[in-house]
Amino acid sequence: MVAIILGTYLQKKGLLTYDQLENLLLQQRKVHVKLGLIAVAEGLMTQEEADKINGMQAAMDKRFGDIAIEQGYLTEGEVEALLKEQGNAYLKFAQALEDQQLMTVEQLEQCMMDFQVENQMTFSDMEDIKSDDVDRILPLYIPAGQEKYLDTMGTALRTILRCVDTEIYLEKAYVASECEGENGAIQYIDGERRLTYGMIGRGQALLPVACAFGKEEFQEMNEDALDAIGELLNCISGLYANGISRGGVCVELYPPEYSTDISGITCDEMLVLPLYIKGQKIHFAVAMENKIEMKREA
Amino acid sequence: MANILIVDDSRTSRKVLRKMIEDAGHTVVEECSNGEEGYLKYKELKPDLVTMDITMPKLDGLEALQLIIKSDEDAKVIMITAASQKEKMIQAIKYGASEFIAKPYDSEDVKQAINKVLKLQNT
Repeated sequence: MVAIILGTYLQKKGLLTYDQLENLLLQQRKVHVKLGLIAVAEGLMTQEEADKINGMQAAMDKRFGDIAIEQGYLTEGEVEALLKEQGNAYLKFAQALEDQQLMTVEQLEQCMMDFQVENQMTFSDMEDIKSDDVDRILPLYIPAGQEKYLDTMGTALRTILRCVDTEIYLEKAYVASECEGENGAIQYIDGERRLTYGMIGRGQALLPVACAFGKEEFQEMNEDALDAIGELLNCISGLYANGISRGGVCVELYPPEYSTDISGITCDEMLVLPLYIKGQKIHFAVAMENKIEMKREA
Repeated sequence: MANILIVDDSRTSRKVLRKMIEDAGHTVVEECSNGEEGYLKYKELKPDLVTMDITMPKLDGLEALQLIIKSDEDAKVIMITAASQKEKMIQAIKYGASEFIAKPYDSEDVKQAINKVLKLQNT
């Protein structure tokens, strides 16, 4: 998730093209993060010093960490700590950028400072983004005072990341009574806790979600594709109901409803989270103690 | 290998389940999209096993389960649930359900549940 968040920022800034971003998202999954890159990202070495050791490595059969210790750039403890960071998703993204010769880690760190200022984030928020942990990232996108939605939205986002796509870009969520869209699905949960999940999009925006979840190449957002969206909501609702049932809360799931012919969804109050999945913008909504209705075309 | 009837209102869910059942070496004799159709097809085809979604419009899975067991007390019905809802599961056991599978499907869970029920049938 950190790769798509930061990659989309770099694309919006004109520092990456869309194709470069797509390629990076593929590459970063298989990249091996070099120790030198981590050392520079952590501020323990400069780019120049890392390059010097890389050059020395070409002439001797020694590991980067061993040479850095010999040269006095790093201590044994620091090398040990850096080795533990090699699976870090942010660093994998940084390594992929460097491997593709698009940006050095020092340049990326500079861009991250701009990202932090523009998004009014604290250093702790930036650590949350870099952690790649959805449970730490989601709260940054929920408006202050709306933390009651964290549980329900968290279940939804984790399920989408697991069953649809691992790279999802988020925009800040907002409270609304209406959300526009041309097709979508909703599911109502009733009982000791009442809530509604909804997912809508314009045109063919939901198509990549339907194809990925339904494991089928739908050609357009027809009823079959929407059935797949409804079934995704059913899984999300089921997992949420499963979670609260462990705490003794009983609920009943109603069958998902879907329509290809709506102008949006309405509700007294719902939280809407805009998501970009495979480049398409869709809206995911949750209403608590309220029922979301689909607004049919007149 | 068994003849299996799938009852689920979601086309996507039926398609995913059919693939898992066929990959496990069984035959899907028919797919039904609601409980009423499922009950009628059960009486007509007498499959070895039924997979029955709980949450369906019209006749839901629990109602269809009751009708099937009433017509054949040896019927083997695996209930499909989107949530581990304790009350619904207790009711389903009371009505004679053989096993449960939770959504989203896991192919290994589906295979194990079918094998477990078929072994019970064989003894």
